[in-house]
Amino acid sequence: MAAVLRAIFGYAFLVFMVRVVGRRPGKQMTPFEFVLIFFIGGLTLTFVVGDEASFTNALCQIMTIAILHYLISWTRTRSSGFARLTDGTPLVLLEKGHWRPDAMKGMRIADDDVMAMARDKELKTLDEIEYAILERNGEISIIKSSEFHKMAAGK
Amino acid sequence: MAVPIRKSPVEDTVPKVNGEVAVGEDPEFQRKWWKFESAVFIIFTLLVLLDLAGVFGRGPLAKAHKSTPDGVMNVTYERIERTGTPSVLKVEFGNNAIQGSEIQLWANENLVTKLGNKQVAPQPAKSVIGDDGIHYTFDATKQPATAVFSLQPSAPGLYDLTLRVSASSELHFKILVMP
Repeated sequence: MAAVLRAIFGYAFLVFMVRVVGRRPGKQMTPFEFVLIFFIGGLTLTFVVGDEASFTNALCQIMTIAILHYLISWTRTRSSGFARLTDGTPLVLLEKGHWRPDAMKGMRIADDDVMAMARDKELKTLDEIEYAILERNGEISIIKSSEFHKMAAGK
Repeated sequence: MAVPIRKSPVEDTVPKVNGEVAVGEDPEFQRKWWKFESAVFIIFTLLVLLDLAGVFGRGPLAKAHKSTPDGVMNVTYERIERTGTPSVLKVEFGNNAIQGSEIQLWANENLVTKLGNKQVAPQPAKSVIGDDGIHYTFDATKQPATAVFSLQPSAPGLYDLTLRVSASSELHFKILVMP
């Protein structure tokens, strides 16, 4: 009973912490962010497992977390408000040659991060970007400038 | 018969930026979320500072000291403990506590059942259960005489602890065990 409650609390706490700490996982993850994720995960494990290192305990806790994950995923598809709470919403970082400083500051993202994704799309400068959008999964989508498209087509 | 695959028409419900890119951003929600995040980090900082001070145990504010008016017993302990975390309760006995080359100490049962005492140093010459607690008898000659109880609480809660050397020399205190 206590082990299942600890697993529920541990999962909810970890989801909350990762949500609060910021949305820069996935492709944008830097080495120091790897440290953060593994460290928080490892520390959560200490109180979730406690001194109950049995096979039964591990199975029950894994199943508890699987059920919770299923419930959260199901609720996200039913309620857009809940999805906003768990994942946030996409955010425009750059729009037609203008940064959105509030979004950049709020999400703790630097222009270098946007440029890194732009290079990934084979763009060489920021002015070749029409829109840069921070997605819910933490990746930055780049939409090429239409003028750049025309220039590229004219060549 | 095979069940037909269900299909539904695509509806353009995702809000667009400048009427051209379907992003579905919600700046109003995001502004509220950033305010909430700032509040959470302020609370986290306060909690960490309180923790460093020992409000949740293992810090300066958690350490406590109590003694009987007649100086028979001085107890150093942690008023805030943590579940599963070892700590030490030290009892220093004054000269009046030593009678006939021995010290008799009674502790209520919470010392063992709730606070998880498993070890006493030095080993008592005798320990007898009774009176809702345990009577320890230590061999002693003269001061300084100290007994150290190793504690490791197994469950959170607020527990009363009573230690008694004689009828007039009794100490009551509460120990809070954090989860």
